Amino acid sequence: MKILIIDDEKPARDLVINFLEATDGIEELHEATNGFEGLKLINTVKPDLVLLDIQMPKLTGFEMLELIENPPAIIFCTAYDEFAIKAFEKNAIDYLLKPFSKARLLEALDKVTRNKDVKPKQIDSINLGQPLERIVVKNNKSIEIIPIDEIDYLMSQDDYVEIHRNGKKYLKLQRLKYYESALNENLFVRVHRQYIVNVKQITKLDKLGKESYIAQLKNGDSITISAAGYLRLKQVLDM
Amino acid sequence: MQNPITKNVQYLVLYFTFWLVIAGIQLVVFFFLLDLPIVASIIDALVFNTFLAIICIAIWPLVNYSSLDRAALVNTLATHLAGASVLISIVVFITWKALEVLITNNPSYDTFLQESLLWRAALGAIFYLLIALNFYVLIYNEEFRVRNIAESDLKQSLKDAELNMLKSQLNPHFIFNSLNSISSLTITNPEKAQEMVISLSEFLRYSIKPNQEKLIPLNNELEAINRFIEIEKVRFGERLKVDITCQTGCGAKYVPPLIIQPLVENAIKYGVHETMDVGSVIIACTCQKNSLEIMVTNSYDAQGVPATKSGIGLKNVSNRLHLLYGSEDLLQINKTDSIFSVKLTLPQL
Repeated sequence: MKILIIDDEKPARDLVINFLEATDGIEELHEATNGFEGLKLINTVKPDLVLLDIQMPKLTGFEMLELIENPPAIIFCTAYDEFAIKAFEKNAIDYLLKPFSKARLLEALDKVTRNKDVKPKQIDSINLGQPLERIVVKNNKSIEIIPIDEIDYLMSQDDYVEIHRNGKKYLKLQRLKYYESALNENLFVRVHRQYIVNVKQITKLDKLGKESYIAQLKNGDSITISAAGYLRLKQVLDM
Repeated sequence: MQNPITKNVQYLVLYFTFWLVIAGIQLVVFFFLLDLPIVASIIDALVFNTFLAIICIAIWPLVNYSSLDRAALVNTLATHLAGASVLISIVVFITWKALEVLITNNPSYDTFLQESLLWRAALGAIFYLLIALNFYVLIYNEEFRVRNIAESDLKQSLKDAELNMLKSQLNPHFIFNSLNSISSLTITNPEKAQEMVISLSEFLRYSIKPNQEKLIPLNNELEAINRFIEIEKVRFGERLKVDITCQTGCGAKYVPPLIIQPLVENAIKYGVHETMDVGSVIIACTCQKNSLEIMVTNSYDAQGVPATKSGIGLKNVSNRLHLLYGSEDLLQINKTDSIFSVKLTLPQL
């Protein structure tokens, strides 16, 4: 088994390496000190299992996972995170609360071995109980971190969400429904089955049909607003 | 409530002095205006007013047990009417009988005494009213005072509760990650593990100390901050650079406990946790005779977007300072492209 450890604290990595060095069945042990390095190693090393910390600089463990299309088996390692624990229970093979014992780590590894025929599924994005401050996307080869107030609007495209920002668009494998609840609801409104708009970007509303409207945005784009969307928008804008 | 007149000797003396003055006035009126003999005037004034004085003490229980509440007003009026009638009758009657015995062989005084009973009763009624009102004012004042004390007690305990809530709370991430580092060091470097256990224990002891609102010398706070930094240095290694400079003499100045530590924690969080290369934190203390300034500065990546909203720690510190010193501008934030700094100004009393 090839294992990758991603953690920004050296003592934490040292401990896991120490626990695993003498364990049978482990062919390779790799370590990464942050999410970017981790992504690179996942692509080059192709680990069977990733031991993943959540709180890391620039890119959290969750955000890193969103950027991988066919993730390896994941075991989360974290010190304390009440929302994350809920999320692990739904998504990951196992999660380890730091500090953990060698026996506990081996038990988690055992679970991975037993489940090795089960194809690891795409891990759902996790709503952390407070509105998102940023969205991480892959843009060609590079990774871009988009602060949410720079987003003009989001548009659903089959299995993807198209994020529009300053005339550029980024694709993200995600459902629009997720962003409806994860983004600050006073700034982002689901105005249509297909759109979530940043209300600060709206310059003008034109009546389109009997109950639908068209919103003109600062960047020149215009998007359709449904009757239900118009009601939600009215509520947020306090019209 | 106890009878205010008999509560202590001072009040009692004051009360009888009042009656002595009244007796004096009566004497002047009797002797100079009514042309009564001097001896009779003196005896009359003394006897009548002594009885009045003594009997008026008995107004207190009547006042104390009948309130001025609107609902009980009729009852209260009835009580006082009955009370006044009985008390005044007694005074007038015993004054009359006593003076008859004490002043003899003076036919003009005898006539005067007979005729005086009515105005003595009227005078008694007036004094009754005055003293009863006085008692009510006293009761009202006392209630007001007690209510004020209760209210300020309540305010104080609300403030205490608020301060308790704002008091720097131990960050569970910090505790469990530190324990994880210790777990690692026990294998790779047991000696260092032991050092870290001690640092962590000292820091925890400082953090959970009761009486968080008692001011402590800056040196103690800096010591705890040093423990905190030592632990963070084990976790983040070369990524964390800290520089502490303290002007001589500032160490003995007083600060609220755990008021600077959250700023350092915040600086490390945004200056170091959120950056992939080296982050530096500078702590500088300067002081004057009656103020202490502490500046905590950290480098940060202006392009970066923190995963979560910041500033709760700073808001807590600011609120705590406001509650403790009653001033709003003791915490100032300064932000440039790459530097974030917080300045605390702590008044020294």
